[in-house]
Amino acid sequence: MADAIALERVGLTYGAEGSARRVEALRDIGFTVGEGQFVSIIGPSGCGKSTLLKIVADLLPPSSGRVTVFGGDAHAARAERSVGFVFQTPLLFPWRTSLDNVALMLEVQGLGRAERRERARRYLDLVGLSGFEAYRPAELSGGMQQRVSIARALSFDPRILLMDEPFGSLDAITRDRMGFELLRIWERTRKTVLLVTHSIPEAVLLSDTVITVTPRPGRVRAVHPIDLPRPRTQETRLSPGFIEYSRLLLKELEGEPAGDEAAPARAHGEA
Amino acid sequence: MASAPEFRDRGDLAVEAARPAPHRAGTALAAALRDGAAAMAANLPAALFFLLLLAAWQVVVTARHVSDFILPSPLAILRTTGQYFPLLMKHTWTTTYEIGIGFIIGNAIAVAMALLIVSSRLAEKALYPLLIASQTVPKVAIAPLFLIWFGSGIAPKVIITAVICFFPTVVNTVQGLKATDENAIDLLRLVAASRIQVFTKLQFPNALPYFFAGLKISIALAVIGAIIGEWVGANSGLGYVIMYSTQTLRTDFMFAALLLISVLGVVLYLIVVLLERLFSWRASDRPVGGL
Repeated sequence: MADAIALERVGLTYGAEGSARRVEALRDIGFTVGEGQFVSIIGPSGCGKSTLLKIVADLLPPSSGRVTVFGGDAHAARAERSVGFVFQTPLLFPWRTSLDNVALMLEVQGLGRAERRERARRYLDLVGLSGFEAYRPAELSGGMQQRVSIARALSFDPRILLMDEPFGSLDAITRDRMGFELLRIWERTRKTVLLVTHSIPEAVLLSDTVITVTPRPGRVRAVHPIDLPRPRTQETRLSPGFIEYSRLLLKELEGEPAGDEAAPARAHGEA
Repeated sequence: MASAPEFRDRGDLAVEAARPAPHRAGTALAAALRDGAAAMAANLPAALFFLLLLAAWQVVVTARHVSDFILPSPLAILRTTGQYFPLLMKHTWTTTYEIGIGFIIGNAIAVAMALLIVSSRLAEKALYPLLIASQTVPKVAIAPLFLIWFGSGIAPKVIITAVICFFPTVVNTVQGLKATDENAIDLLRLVAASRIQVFTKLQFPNALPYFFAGLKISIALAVIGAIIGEWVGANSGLGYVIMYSTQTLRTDFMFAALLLISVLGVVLYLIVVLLERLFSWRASDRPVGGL
């Protein structure tokens, strides 16, 4: 399987050299994500997970190391519009309807009105929101808003979908439902997904591979292939395998020595 | 919002959809009128209390035989207003005209300045502190200067109006243009949006509620500006009527002018509110990025 995303010794340091506020956010991050795979990154808050996604999306340059996306550099990937991004907050434009929010990216690309509306309608349908085209964000619930934002991320048909704790601000029940919804969408679109989360069950349920990251500076601690059968359902969550993986990850994340004393990454990269 | 139920009952949502939405063309005016009616109903207690105050005023003035030049009764004010209505309207028109031109010029400069400030760091550093410092100068005090510089025609009134009313618009528009969520800009960068596209698709619409908030303060100040301009030196306008009636002890006339200024102020304010309804989404819909 070809690598969709490959990171080699990626590091990021904020602040000028010698400055008291110099913070090393990421150090020597290395892993790969195969095309069509669903990979989650999990770690304590403040370990630079979100920053990492922005680096992959070429929204932030790394201080060191190299990011390869489909064999080229991250900048080329963004220029080719290969990367979709779902942020923590839905980030919908309140003056636009759901349909126009989804069509926004296509509008920027200069697609004709009829075509972009047609495509936006299709993606709203994909996330289960047909019938809500004319609604404004304020008229939708938090979960529905995040669905619109997923539709928007998919609207320009990127090959990679980066998701930064997309369900973090939703209540537990909605969050569960959105997880299954995301699986359904992923199974239909077969995008490469890189998801950042702080929920262990979410990571195990959704992913082919879970990458754990240490706290400041963020480093890859371990790479866990999740060998659970698909399609995954509510039943999966009750299976012994699921529970075993959850326990393993919990132990790993809890027994985390802080900062620089963190144990070196056990598996450096092979996803 | 985060804990809102995922799929509310569809019927429920349909009701929400029927809520007035400012952007759906044609319905905006109707929605504004409907909201206006609702506001009137909500303010009924205030209106009744106001009428009660007027009645008390009337009773006290009549019972104690207060002289007309000290405090005319509400009915006397109404009588004077009715009696001199055409003349008063002529003065009202002069003032409205000054306010209108001053308001437009002041706000055009305000928007241009706001754009300059957000687009250039240098402009921001050079301009913004001076702009804010300039607000400590009492403009009422410099009004006579404008009279010397620009003569006694309409020009000094318009200029004073513009100078007084432009500030809130600049500050609010700058704040609005800067209030753009960084992540929203990143979102547009994912599809290689140009700077102009970031402005037209995101920054500009995002700033509209701020702009209109500034405009609402601005229109109230514009009325004050025109009146001050007329106080300093004029031969027509409601400010002039007030000065004239002070000198001739026609207090009823002064109250008639005050009445018309208040009405004018409210009407102009409502026009700005109507423009907001027509052209801007409402900030109560939460800015970009909010959950």
